[in-house]
Amino acid sequence: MIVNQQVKKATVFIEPFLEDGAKIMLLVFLSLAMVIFLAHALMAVFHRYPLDYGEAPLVDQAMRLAVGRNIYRLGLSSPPYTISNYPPLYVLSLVPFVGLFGPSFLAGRLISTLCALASAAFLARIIYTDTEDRMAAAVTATLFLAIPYVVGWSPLARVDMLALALSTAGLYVVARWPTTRRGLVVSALLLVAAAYTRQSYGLAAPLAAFVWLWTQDRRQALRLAALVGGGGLALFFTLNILTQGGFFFNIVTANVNEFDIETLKRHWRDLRKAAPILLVFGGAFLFLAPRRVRSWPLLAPYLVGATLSALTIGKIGSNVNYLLEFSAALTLTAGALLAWCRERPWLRVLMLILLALQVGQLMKVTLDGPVESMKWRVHPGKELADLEWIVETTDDPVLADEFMGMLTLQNRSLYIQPFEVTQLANAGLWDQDALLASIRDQEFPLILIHHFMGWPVYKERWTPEMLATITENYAPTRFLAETIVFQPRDIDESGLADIEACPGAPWRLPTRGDMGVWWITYQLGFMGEGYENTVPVYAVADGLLTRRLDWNNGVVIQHDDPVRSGEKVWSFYGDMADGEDGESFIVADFPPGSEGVPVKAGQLLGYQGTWSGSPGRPMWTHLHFAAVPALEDGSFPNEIVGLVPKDEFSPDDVGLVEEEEPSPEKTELEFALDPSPYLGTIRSQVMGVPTWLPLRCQESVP
Amino acid sequence: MLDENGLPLKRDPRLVALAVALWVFTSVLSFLEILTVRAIVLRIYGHFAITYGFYSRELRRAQVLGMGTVVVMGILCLGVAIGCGEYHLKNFGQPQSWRLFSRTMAAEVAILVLALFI
Repeated sequence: MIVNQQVKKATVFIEPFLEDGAKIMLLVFLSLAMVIFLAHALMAVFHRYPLDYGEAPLVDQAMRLAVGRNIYRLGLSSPPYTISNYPPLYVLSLVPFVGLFGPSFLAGRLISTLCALASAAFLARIIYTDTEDRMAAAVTATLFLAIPYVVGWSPLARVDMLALALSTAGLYVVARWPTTRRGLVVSALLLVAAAYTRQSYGLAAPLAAFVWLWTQDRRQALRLAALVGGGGLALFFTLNILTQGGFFFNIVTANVNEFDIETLKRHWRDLRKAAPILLVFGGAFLFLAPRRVRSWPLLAPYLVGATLSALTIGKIGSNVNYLLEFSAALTLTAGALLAWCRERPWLRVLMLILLALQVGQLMKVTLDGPVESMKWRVHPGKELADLEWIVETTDDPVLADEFMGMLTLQNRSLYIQPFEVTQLANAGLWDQDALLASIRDQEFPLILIHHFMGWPVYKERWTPEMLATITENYAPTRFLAETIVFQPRDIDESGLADIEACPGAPWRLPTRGDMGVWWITYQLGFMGEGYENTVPVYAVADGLLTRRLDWNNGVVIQHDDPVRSGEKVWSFYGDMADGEDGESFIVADFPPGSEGVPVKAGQLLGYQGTWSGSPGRPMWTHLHFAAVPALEDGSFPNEIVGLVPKDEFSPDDVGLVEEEEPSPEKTELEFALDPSPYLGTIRSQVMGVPTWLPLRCQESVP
Repeated sequence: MLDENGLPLKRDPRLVALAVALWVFTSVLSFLEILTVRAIVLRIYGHFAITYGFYSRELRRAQVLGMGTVVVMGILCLGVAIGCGEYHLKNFGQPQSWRLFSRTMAAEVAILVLALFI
């Protein structure tokens, strides 16, 4: 009994100190998260060039609105082939800045960053209004800004943050003044404004506001529904009549993209990895809090609505901006639960510690994700300047995707938004023949196609017909900031992307190099146009093929050396495997263990892959090729072994392959031969540094 | 400290031992954490700035940043050890003294846990 009392006394004594300590711990984590948020925002906001595909179209729309042109054209029978996917409010907010300072991304990014901060403030005010718990309110705000999706998206010149700020402001007004007439009108205005910034914001916040008011005053709820619904529809019909149906076409028809369940699953996996504790708190709030937390009728519908909205992230071309409203809802529920625990000190301590751990995980994902991406995006400053100069010195019209912002920076309108029209073409809503004819006629002096490492997104942005017509009529001439610069192909030009062999060369080409060739000191990376396992790889000459048991993605062929008379030479074909799981793309005729199998020049060996050397890190679709001198006995040099990593995926290597890891010096082909005399292609003068070259033939092969 | 009669306050030796042990523990831990903080700062800097290997300009900056962090943290830790020591001496046995202990330890534990994430 006495012991129990002493324990109880000690517990009561220690409780406030524990809670104090837990608060400090969370404060340390959140402070660092804020530093990361601000540093990322600073890095992004003042970057001159586009940071996201979606920025330039919005600036382009602001430029057109500034001169009084309709941004919601009905149909795309003639250029410009542009779509205004969103309602006009964000674009309208850019118009004064475009008028005063000219088109740039700075104003749009500043608006977005300030709106992210405003959203955080409104979320905090919602929690404080309901609970008067300053700690919970502050945690809600900072937790929101610690979420990687928020960090990554806040400084982009995109519509989302303005929409989120307006909808959270609307929710705050409803929560703060649920029964006043002024509160009702202001909240309705804010909610309609949010929906007219981004249409998907017409669901979660209005639903939450309606349910909340329904629990307070049913008439007030019906008034709000009438105001938001009526006002929104009236505005919709007005805009649609003014644009002769163009408004509906642009923001509804042109937005119905194909749904890909795999994309949804991938984002769900990422979300679970980034915010497991927040998700648990969100679920707990939905199911455990109905009678315990007063603000449940406001926050639960918001979470449900935001979840439904987030599910549309499976649409092709969608991004993490579909998760911003869901992030806001999760932080609100966490804040509400934290406030509810105020009278339960031990539970509150546990929750504070769990939230600190959650913030730690959020920071980790932020640093590995958005911060790393931003660094690499901002880093090639010189190459971006070169790309801008190329665009600046080229006459219109220019076709571009990721870097179409290079055009708006020079006050030039866009000719095409390739992703949007590609989706329309895929849906049978747009006839691309006129554009294809223009490409065929080489009406565009310049085409820029961005090539994300490991993500063939250009396949979503350009139809197969467009890509085929471009590679047929245009030559890749430079590679800057991960962008391939295409210029009209000269009919007499000796180098062609789809040529089988260079004139006079002893060997044929092993594969296509539509997107150019990486030269890595005598080793070549042929970049074909297409997904992995679609671009064929052929034997360059007659010879004897070997594929060791542990070679999952490569083969070698021994030939009589056509350049060094009397010698033997090996041609090497590597990376013919899936970059994610290592699935081999080598044809079944050459299973592991093949040795001395006769092959003919032009015989199919396999297909280009995305293998980079380790699983889960895919590269562009490519073939790794090299010409290697044979050893004195005609066998292949051990150096080749380092180029073909051990088969980690095939079961047949157990007990058959030596376990020794290749030593570092074996991972490079030290004795590779210059492949130019064999293939007749141009060679790089730069050794030791990876260099991109267009696939071109030499004028004369020695 | 004096009691209401102006006589030196009698201190419970067990509490004195606990306070001294906590002060030594937090002070020593703060010095040990200098390298942890340096590692955290450098890792964050790396995520934001370092793009290429050994001879990059960013890496040289990182070296300077690392040294600067060690110097700043060293001064800070000295301040924490001396300042907290003075504070605990003046407020021995008072709730604010225990609160400062709990806060110091929480911050130090937070730094250790942070290093696991970053």
